[in-house]
Amino acid sequence: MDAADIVLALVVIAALGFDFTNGFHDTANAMATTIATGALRPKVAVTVAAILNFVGAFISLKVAATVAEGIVDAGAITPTVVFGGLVGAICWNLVTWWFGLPSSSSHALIGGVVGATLVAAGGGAVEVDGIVSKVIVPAVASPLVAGVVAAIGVFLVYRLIRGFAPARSEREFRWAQVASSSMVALAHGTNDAQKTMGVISLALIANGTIRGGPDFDVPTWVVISCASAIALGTYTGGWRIIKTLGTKVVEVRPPQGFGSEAVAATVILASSHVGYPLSTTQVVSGAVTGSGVGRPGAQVNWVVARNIVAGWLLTLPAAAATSALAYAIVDLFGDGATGPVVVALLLAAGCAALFAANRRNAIHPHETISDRPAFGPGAVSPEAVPA
Amino acid sequence: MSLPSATLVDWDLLGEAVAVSFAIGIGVLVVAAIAVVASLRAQDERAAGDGEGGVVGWSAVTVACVLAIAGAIAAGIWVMAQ
Repeated sequence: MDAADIVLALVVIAALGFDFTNGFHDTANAMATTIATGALRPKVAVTVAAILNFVGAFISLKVAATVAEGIVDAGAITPTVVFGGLVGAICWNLVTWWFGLPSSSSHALIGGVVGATLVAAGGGAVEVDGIVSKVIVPAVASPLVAGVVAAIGVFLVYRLIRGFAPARSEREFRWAQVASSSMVALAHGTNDAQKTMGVISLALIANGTIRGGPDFDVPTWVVISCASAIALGTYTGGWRIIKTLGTKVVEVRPPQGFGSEAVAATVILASSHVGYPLSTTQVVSGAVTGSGVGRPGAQVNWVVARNIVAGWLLTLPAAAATSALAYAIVDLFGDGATGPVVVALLLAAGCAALFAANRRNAIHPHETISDRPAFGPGAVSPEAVPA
Repeated sequence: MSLPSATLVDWDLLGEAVAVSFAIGIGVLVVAAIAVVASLRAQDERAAGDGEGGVVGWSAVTVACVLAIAGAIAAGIWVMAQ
């Protein structure tokens, strides 16, 4: 095994590690509102999301080897640059998870690749046009579109059901809420597992392990391992982010939870269909916030919403800075595999320390259920929820 | 580092994404709410014993709405597979 093979192996391990963090980071997108209302118990919800993420990864293999296309010069991307980018993205995913902030894993990956490319090939290899059009504009558009659609849609839903006792109408929305959340989980598996497949395929092509070109096929082991990593991450449950999205932004009731997830799923799929893919995390966060604006009497916690937006603003530069540092450390050791091995060990030590700290200060699944759930043990009648 | 050009926002595509998101997003929610309203009306009519006509009518509306939503889910999966 030569140095190139070792670097390739580290890229694959880091990519699967990123895929795992992507899974537990984004479980909240699909299941936070379903867990909050008690429509599904927390462990059941993350199991359903994990299965759907796994299945979703097989629905389409239109590989996003293009995760960095139009963002950086393709000629500047080497396995070491990809490795640096993945390190930055993993670190940012872990930091935002620790603070319970839903942020875009895709933007973290793009930021990571940009940072490593800046150090490796200089500013000339970075396409500012691409960053603005593929990251910044969608980042502004995603939450706004989803928020406004959810606010109007949820308002209309409450207008239509206003003639019935809330306890009755809420019961009817339970399984609709589960269905809409499941669609978000399926879409997430399809979109996000592909990104990791793309990253690994890119590294395999760069290493000469597989051939690129128009008839290029993603190796089956790549598909299965990416699907498994994202599903395992999802099953682990990013309870911190689930708690934020499900209970801290706004108190979620079933029609509102259904509305936010249904709007998120339709906005993600509709925009993807017309060729303008938006960030799943930002769409869901915007939809949850918008659903709070649309439900009569609900109060959005704008301080939490502001913190989430601050996380979004920091994602690109923070992931870029971390990956730039990672690449600079790799570069100190020359062209061999020593640099990537050292950075991989540092990352592993950092992850171990963070998970140890999390064990002492863990958010438990039951803490992600609302104080006044609509279903399950401790269910509270909607009439008892203050307007 | 190349500087951003004036055409970096594809307004047509963004506008289409926004329009489709509005139409389908709000459409799905309204259809689901109508399904719930029709289901509750059918339950009320059944409980009141107001005759089979009303129950059948409201149940048909519920089924039609549920089928429409099932169609939307199928279309969503089709979009994912593209």
